[in-house]
Amino acid sequence: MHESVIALGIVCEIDKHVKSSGPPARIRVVLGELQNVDEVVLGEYMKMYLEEQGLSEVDYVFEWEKARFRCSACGYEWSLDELGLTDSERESIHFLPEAVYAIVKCPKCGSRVYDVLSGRGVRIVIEEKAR
Amino acid sequence: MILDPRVESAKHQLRSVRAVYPVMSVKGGVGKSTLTVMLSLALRELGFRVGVLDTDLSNPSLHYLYGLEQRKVDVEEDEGYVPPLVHDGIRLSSPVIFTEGGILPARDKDSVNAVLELLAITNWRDVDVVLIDTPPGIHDEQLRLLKLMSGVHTGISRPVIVTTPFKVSLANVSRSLDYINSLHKGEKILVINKHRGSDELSMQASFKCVLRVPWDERLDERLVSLEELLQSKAYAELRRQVHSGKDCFF
Repeated sequence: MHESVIALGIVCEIDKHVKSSGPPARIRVVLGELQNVDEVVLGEYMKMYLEEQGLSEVDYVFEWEKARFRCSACGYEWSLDELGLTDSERESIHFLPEAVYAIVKCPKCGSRVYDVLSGRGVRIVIEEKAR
Repeated sequence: MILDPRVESAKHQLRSVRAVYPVMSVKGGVGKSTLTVMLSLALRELGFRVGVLDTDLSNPSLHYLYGLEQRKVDVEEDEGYVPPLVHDGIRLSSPVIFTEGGILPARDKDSVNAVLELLAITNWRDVDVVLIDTPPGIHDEQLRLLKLMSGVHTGISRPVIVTTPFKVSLANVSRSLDYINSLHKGEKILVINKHRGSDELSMQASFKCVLRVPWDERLDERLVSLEELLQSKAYAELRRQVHSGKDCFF
C-alpha cells in the first residue's frame, strides 16, 4: 500500500523531531485532496509505526486541504469538484500528484500551464510548546 | 515547522540499494538516455539487479528504449509501487506509468516535487544499483537531485557525466564541475560518448574514471530492441570497459 510508506515517512520525521526537540504541543498531518490518501489506512499504519518507535503517546490530527488550481494563461481558478476524473486518473494522481498536469487542462481555456495553489500532498505541521 | 515525509520515505525505499548513479549531461543530445540503458545492461551482465529511474519529466524516453510503451503496465502496490521488469533483472520507474505515456509539463518546484515523489513511492526491492536518468542541463532540478541523494542514500552515490568528445562539450563539462562539486563532493564518472580517435582530456583527474564509447554509425538502427542494442559496437565497447573496470562503479 502507498499509505504505508507515507506513514513511515511521517513517523520517522516525528521521531527525529521528538528526539531533537522533545514532544511538540501539537502535530497536524495535512492531507492534500489531490493526493487523496486513505485517511483510515494511513492512520492504521501510523499507529503501528508510532508503537514500534515507542511513540504511542504522541498525539496528532489529520486535516484535509482542498485542492485549488489557477490557470497561468487566463487566470481562472478551479477545484477538483469541477473535474470529472476517472478512477484510473485519480489513482495515477494518488501516486504522483504532478501527473495532474498530464491529465487535467484548465476547464475554461484548455491550457495545461497552471499552478496547484493548495492541497497537493502530505505535510507535517509541528506546533511547538510555548516557552 | 513544516516537515516533508517524502525524504524519509525515499530513504526507506533506497535502504538496501548498494549504489546510485545519477546520469547527467551539461548539454542535450549527447546520448544520455541510450547510455543509461546500455549501462543498465552492462551492470546487469555483471550480475547486479538494476533499477532505472527516468526523471526527464518533459521528455521521458527510457520506456521506448526498453519497449515498455508496447504493453500496458499494471501498477504493483507494495510499500509504494514496484516498478515493472523491462528486461531480465532490470526494473524501470518512469512518470509515464502514471501519465499513460504522456509527457509531464511540470515546472520549477513541480519538477522537484515530482522527482522526490517518484523516489518516495518507488519500491526498489530486489535491486542492487539504481541509475537515474536526468533531464539535460545542469539546472535546479539536477543540482537539487544531487543534494537530495546525499541526504537519502547512504551507499555509493556517483554521478555519471555524459559528454561528446567535441571541444565545446568538454569545455562545458569543465565549466560545470564547480557547480556539481559544490553539491557532490564524492567521486564522479565521465563518459565520452560518440568517441572517435583520440582526445586531449585535461580534466581526467577530476573523475574516478573515464569511459569512452565509440561512435557507432549503426546505433540508431539498433535502438528498435534491447536485443539489437546488445549487438551494437557501442554496447560491446562500453560493456568491455565496465567489466574490466568494475572499481569505477564500486
